[in-house]
Amino acid sequence: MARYVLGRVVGMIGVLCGVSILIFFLIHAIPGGPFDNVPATKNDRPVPEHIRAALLEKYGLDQPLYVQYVRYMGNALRGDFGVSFHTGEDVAKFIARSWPVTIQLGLMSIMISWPLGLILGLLAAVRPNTWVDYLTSVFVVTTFVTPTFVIAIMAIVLFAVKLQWLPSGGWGAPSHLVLPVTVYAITGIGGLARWVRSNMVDALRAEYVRTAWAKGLTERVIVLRHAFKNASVPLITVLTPALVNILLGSFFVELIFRIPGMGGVTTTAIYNRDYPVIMAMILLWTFAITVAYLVTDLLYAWVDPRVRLGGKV
Amino acid sequence: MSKQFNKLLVIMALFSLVLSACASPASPAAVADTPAPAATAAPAATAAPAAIAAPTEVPAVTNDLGVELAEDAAPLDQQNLRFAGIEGKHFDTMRAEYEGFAYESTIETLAMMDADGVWHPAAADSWEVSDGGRTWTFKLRQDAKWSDGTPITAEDWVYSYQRYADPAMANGYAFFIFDIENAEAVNKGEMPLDKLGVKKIDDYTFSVTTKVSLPYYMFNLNWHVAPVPKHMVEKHGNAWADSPETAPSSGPFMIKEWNRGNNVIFTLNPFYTGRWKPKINQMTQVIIPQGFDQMLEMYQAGDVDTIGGIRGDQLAQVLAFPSLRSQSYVSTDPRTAYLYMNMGKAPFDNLKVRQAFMHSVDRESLCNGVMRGTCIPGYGLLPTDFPCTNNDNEALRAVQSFDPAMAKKLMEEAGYPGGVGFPELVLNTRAGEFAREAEAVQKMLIENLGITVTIQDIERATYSDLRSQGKLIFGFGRWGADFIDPSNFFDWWDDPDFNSFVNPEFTRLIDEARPMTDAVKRCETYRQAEMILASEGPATFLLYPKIANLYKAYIKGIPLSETGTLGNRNDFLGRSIYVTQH
Repeated sequence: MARYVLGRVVGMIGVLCGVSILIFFLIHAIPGGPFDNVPATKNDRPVPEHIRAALLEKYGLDQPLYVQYVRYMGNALRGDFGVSFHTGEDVAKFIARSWPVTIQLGLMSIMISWPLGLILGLLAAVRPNTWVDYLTSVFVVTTFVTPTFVIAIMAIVLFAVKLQWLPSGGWGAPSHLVLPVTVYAITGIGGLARWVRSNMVDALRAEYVRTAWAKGLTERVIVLRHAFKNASVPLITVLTPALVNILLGSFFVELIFRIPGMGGVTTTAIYNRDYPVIMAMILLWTFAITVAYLVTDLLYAWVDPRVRLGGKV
Repeated sequence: MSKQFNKLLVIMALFSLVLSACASPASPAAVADTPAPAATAAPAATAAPAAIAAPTEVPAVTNDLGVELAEDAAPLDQQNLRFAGIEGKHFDTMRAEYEGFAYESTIETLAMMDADGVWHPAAADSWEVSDGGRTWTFKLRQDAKWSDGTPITAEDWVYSYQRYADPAMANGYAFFIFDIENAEAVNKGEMPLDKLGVKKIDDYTFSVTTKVSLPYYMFNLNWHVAPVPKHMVEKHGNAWADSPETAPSSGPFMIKEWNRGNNVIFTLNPFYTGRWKPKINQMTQVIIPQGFDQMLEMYQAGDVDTIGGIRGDQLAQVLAFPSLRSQSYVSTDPRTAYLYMNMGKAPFDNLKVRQAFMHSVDRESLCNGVMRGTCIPGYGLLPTDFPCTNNDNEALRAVQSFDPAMAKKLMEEAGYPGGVGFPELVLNTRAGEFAREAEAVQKMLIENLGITVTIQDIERATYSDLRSQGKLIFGFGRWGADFIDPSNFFDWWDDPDFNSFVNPEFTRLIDEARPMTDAVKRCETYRQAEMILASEGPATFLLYPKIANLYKAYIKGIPLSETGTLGNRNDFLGRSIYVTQH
């Protein structure tokens, strides 16, 4: 087991290197740089050449690409992810203050969406083709199909504008949590419920379930202890990366509710050609997702004794 | 058995709902920090009727600077103006324009302009122009102090300018002061800082000398130009502007807190001794992220007291609701939107093609129909209400008038009868701006010229990269005024890479107009240049957007121009508004 984990960790380092190199050269290949024109809210006024040269030199952008890469990664290994071109804030500091916000938002919404998604999926699976199932389906499909920002804006218009019950956005007080968490949770319920339902329906058709019925076990025991346990194994494959994605933040929810988290930062950084931030985010994402996959595989092996890590079944 | 199971499921469902209810609070907390009420100075003698002896009167509300507010003013802890704004990098206005933020209220410029366009002394007591209009000498207020008590002197001002031009600052906006003597050479490192045409004359007097006489230069001298605290810069370097503790202000407000990503809180500068003391006691800037588009919802939810820059669809929404409309002040945005036709490349190198395009857009129906009255049809470079605007002039309007028959004829003369043989065009919009206008224009071009046009949106940095390299063939462009003078519009068209426009007569006219002192002749000269640009330039002028600022009904004291608008520039707004009881 330990060897397996070690092997995976080594592989992870390889992935980090590969992805970072690829992304680094890719972002420098995109036309336009961070200082081509004045970071303007008004006009795109081209910056005079000698000033642009001075700016590039100041930020080390006039060096050959591989030099820049090595310098950045060397610093990154020591925890120095540079300073954002766009906000002037130290990137590590920015992550330290904004990631907890995103995590809080994500965890709270998971606490709502996972239980609800599970229950709805279970309900629909054990009472297929009844009104419970149809109602659940309608709810699930609607929330799954409606874009997050539509739900968010509708929530703001209803609860903040019309009813004036809640603030339209911001962060700091408990009242700021209600809408974003709810909206974020709603969008997560649908996918999980669908997944659970289809897996459960399959599990409930299995032979051993029929045997269990024949043995005279209660429905509760059959569904929860037998069928669900088997259906939940593939769930792990889906939930762990989903957890990571949630913890890395939602662009729309954080933008529309003005939440000072990490969610929108990658997109804006690419837009602004904010190389230090882009690199830091990519490294973070890659690290988080590869760890998530490792954890998934370990969990899988733990839950399902039939699985042997590293190959042979 | 199954009934039991059902019960269990229901209980679990209810439990989750309870969990989610745990997140909701008892009452919504206030967004802004409520400041501790300052000890109010004894109110100035209120007109107590002689008959009433007992002190039953409520004393007038007085803010932290001792300014007494009107009778209808709300209590002091409510004198907080909340507005929305994007977060900048730091508080330094004199480093690189648009990088700094939150300084509109924390700096005091030499003079302030009111809604009618008249300059009033502010940081400067007086000024005079000499040397044939080239030298501006300012006598500063001698009682001015930074919010940490240090006196503000001419030394700070001169130092500020020198630092702005200093090549070591790598200031991307340094060209803004290139009209000052030696500024460009200093910025390129060819001359030392002290050769810059900004000179200290004595502790409270300094002068600025421009290369040539520029009668409009008061604008440049008062556009976000302010002293930086020399004592702080020397102590902390550029980091002085990164946190409120090291960034004292010279204006009536100071920065109390900066909660990154959340808000900036301004309180009154206790050392402010200037003429224009504000009435409001505190301001809060609610920080909105880049790309945020829910300003109107924020305003309606009551999370801010004012919003500005409302245009397009949102403006149409505002105009449609009586409650919002009554709170709005609509004016013309000093901004021109146009179709950019790259003269340096086919097919737009052909004058007749450009002219055909100019005549094939129905601006009236675009603005009054498609855009529901939220823009003004534009036929020239300068927006309406802008100095020297000529948009109502028949001769100018005729040059780019909507004339589909003429357009078709021109296309024929250009060698593309009915649009046959004309290359397929891609109309690039920049970062989603003017998307609807672009679609309407696309339809008009297809209909009236018989050509093929597709729209492709490209993001900001790529768009400007293409444009500055001269590679953009056909795009939706716009130019917004940095300061209220025609030169700000015209001088920019002289860049052959960005605008593909090279016309010696045009250049001659704008060079001639720039330093003119005779306002009437100056406008005439600029209008001649505008005619040339409109007739054979790379732009089909389209529209000037309307823009609205909204203020909640309980905000009073908004200074208006004689014509009842907010004016092009309104420096006194922040000084005279206050919150009434509500």
